[in-house]
Amino acid sequence: MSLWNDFLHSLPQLLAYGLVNAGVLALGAVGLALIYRIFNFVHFAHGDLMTLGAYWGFLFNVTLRLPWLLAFVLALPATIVCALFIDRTFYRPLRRQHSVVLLISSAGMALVLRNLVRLFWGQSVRSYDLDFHRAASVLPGVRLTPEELVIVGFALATALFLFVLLRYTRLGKALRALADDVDLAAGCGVSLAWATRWTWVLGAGLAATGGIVLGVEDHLLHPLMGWNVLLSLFAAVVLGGLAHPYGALLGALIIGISQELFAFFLPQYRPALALVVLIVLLLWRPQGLLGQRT
Amino acid sequence: MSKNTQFIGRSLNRRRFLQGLGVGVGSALLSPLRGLAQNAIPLGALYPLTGAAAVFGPKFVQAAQLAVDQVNAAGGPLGRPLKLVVKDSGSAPQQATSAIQELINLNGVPAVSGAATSFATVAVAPIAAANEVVLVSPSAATTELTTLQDDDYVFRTFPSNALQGVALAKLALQEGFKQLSVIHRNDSFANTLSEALIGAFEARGGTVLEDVAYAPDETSFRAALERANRGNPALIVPIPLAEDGNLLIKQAFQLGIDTLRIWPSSIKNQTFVDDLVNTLGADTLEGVKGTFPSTPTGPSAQRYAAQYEAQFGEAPTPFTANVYDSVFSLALAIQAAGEASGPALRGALRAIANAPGQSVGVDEFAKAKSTLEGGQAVQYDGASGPVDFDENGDVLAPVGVYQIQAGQIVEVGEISIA
Repeated sequence: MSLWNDFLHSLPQLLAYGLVNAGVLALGAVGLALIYRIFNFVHFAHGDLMTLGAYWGFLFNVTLRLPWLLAFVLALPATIVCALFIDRTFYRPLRRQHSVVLLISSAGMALVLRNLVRLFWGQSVRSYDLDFHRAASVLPGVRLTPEELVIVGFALATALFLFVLLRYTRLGKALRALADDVDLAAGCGVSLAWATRWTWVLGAGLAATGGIVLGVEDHLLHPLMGWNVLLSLFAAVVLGGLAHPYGALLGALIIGISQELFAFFLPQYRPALALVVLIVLLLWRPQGLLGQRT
Repeated sequence: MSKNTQFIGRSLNRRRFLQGLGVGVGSALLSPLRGLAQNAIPLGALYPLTGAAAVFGPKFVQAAQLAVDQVNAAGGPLGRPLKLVVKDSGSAPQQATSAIQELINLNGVPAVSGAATSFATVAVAPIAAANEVVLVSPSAATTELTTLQDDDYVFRTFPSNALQGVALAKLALQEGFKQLSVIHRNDSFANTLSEALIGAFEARGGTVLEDVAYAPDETSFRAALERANRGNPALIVPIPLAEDGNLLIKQAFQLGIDTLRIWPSSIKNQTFVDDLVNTLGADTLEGVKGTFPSTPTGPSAQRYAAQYEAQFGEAPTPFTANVYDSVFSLALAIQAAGEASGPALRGALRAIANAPGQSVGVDEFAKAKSTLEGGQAVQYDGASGPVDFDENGDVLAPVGVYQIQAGQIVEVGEISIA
């Protein structure tokens, strides 16, 4: 049997893995895109915010022995509070500066977060206290574990949630207005403080969920887990057209799936494949998939 | 010149002299060698305290310290105490190379026991050779070290993958497998072991279906496993390091791939097995076999095991015997060479390890010292084997087979590499 035939035979399974991978990336990428859209800077600490969320989950699930659902739900407000504190203390004073200044400040924050995690939980790998499940057949030729199904479901739910939020809620309208023109929006009565807070709630909440999902999917927590994903997150966001949360979703889907497909042929280069996809697609369409040509 | 300037000239000279003296004394006080006793010999130890092989690191330090303590209790080589300087070889080659630079330049070591992983050893070997520092690795298995242009500065007390590869192939055939696939980490150790295994397996009539490599820091092995499972091989041999091996095996079982049943030495570690048993259950691993450079049963090896247990309250873990031998043989070499310098130690290492000579074993430093002082040769028979260095600095060792029984690693015999 030729390699191509075997690939086609495995295709449904690889697509399923790709969907799971995309789900993980989507949660991080959407938050990243949202923060870029509102605050106009590239949040370099987003990966490490995911790591922080994952480790909060570890604290509640393993150290405090809470059932996993409760533990993971509690990890969200814990991470959000941290993110709000970071924004207030480190990013807000720099708000009117050039976005590069904020980028570098967030890169510094990334190091701080990562090393705080190392300080409290050490360098060695950890994992959540979850039951171990074998993959079961969900469709012909596709086997997934219950956790993986949940992750895919989550990603879809996030997409829907985002759509509803941006389209139909007051917050969504305010965020869209802010993204277009900050001063005009403020002039129309949008409270900047209120919108800022909610952006971080969404962004950090999604990041924490992404981190936990990553920890569950890989059975592994370690201080570099979020940082290692950051490059793929950037790839997804840029692919989608930078400032668009929907674009980030689409980007995550494409990067997530193509990573798993290409990895069948070149498994030792799997981390690099996300970026190859990005480069190829940007050559074809430099503004990203949903971006506007300026 | 006026009187004033003459005065100034002299006081400036004195001031400069006093400043220079102050700087000299100050830097001598600040020098890292200050911690050493006046005539102690620093010995480098480069082990993985963090990173993919970190499960082995702390035990390696213990074994090395045991050797140092025993040597010093007998007065130390040339009457000078040995001082172990331990550095972390880390998870990437860059960490290992920085660490060995520190050992050489800051601590002034003439020799280093390490590195433990193949990728780190291959990275630091050229640095050791260029700086005329002897490197004795206690566990690097890559075949690259045999042919490395190292000016004879690099040795190891651990057999090359060439031997283990043959053993893995023979074990697979013995267990009735005519075809297999390999899934391995993309680094020095795993690449060379995989090559050796495939070569030996095919030479003996077996078929290798797939040889899949994954990136060293990979955490999601699904696509790689899907590829390795192509053709549904009855056996997939994993060649990982402990950290990625943990995830690889968990994800394989999760996907319903039960065929990873012959393991290499890099995951012969009870802590590793305990974690897998905790997650997967002891039944999933029951009967898994593996190969490893085997521990000899002579009096020297037994003495090591007893003394390690007495000192640390636990049986010695895999490869600590090789660590002990790397340090002890360096101590013997210093005594035989008459000086603690790299170039002299090269020749001395073979002289004390190989025939001819009066046989000395574990914890017999006093006996060795008096023999050498009397002008006779010694031949070291160590905790991990006869420790005879060939012209490439390699050692031979028999290969053993281990099996997981009720969640415990049990050594079940040897396999000949003929």
